[in-house]
Amino acid sequence: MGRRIIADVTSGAAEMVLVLELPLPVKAPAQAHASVAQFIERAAAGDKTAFEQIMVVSQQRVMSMTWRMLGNEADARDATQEVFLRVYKYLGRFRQDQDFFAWLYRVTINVCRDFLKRRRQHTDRFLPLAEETETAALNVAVDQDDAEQAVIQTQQRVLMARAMATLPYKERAAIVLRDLEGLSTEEVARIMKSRPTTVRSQISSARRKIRIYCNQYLTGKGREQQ
Amino acid sequence: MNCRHVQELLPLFVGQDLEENQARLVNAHVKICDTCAALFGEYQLSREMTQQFTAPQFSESVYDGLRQSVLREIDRDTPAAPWHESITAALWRRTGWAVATALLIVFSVSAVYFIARRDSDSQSIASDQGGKQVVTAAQPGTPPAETGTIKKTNRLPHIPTREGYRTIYSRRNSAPGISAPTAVTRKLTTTTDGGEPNVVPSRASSAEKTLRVEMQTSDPNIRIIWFAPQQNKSTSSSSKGT
Repeated sequence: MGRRIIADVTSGAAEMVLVLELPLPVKAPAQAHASVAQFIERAAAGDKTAFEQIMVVSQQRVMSMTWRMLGNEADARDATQEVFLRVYKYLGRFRQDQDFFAWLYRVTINVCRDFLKRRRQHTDRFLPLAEETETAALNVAVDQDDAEQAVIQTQQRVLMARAMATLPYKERAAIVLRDLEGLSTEEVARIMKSRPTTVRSQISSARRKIRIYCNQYLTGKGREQQ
Repeated sequence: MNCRHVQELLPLFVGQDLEENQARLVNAHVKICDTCAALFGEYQLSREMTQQFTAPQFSESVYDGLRQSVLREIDRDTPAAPWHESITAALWRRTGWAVATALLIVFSVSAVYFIARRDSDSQSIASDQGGKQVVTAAQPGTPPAETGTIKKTNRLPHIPTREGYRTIYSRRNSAPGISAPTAVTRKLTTTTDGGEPNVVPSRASSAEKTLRVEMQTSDPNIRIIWFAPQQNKSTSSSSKGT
């Protein structure tokens, strides 16, 4: 739907009226939310096809989030599967006036917290966050033309993975939601069921730790320590 | 604003998480302080690196396998939900419907209860009329007041729903020639053991061996009189009113 905008332009002696037909962006997010709402309603009534559509719409977001929180693909896949099973189980409790993706993030964070707890209990299954990241990044680098740029990206990704692994769970969740998922502090606070001031404090602490880690690594102190 | 304070705020300033006033002060300080400006540069660099920490692109086959395994788990682990859980889950999302349904159920149960109670009341009135609160037959030659005695029972009579409703029971003696009124009228709002009943003479009937039941409605001009043949000659008999 275009919107008709009339602009009066006065130039010198003559007056012109410009009539511009500007195509406004279609409300795609609103439509997407509407379709998701329909899928949710049908899935809550037991329609598995609708639930599969919900998974299609949100799988990339959940997988990305679980990978950032857990750091390896195997755990991320298991966690994503657990997220969708919980979503299906508790879909009846979801209210239509809620933001579905905020609710989904909440479930994802809870699942990741459980995974991290389990990982602490079973240290033999622990897969360092940076290890797989490094391997995956190197695999990507082979296919790229600019090898030097790829190496830099790889190093940065490995560095960040290690830095994220040093963060406590809540700080990691806050920084992932704020800086990587791009949510506002208030949205992060709602998802984490916390206060915005608490979330700001967690984000501040996380950014400080990441800066220190990166600074140490880039100046050579980190390499010496390792 | 000193350097220490600014350096505490820099992690939030780099992500634009500060309020406008604080952000303006920090920005002004960073422009004039080399130390804080260098620190600000480090924060900017680390934040850019953080934002480049993206998950790898997983192939569509990974997502397909994930969806299929989720659906398999759902089919395996979640058998058909019990009916009450389905209702609860359906009503959970619609609180308004749940409240309306609860009110409807309460109203329906109340209505059924009152209707059932009303029926049982009318049946017990009928049974009382037929068995216990009957008027003895008037004996020939006795004064009307004595003929109108009521058999006393331990049970209290049922009170009619409408005030002013009067039922008049009368029984015609078989002896002919009795001109005195033998019927007894009694207000059902009075108890049987509360002393003398409210007696109102009724018109005499000439029929023999019949049971006469008179019912005075709330309208004083309308009286329902019911004649029924008497079954035997005993002193008490039963009748059923409608």
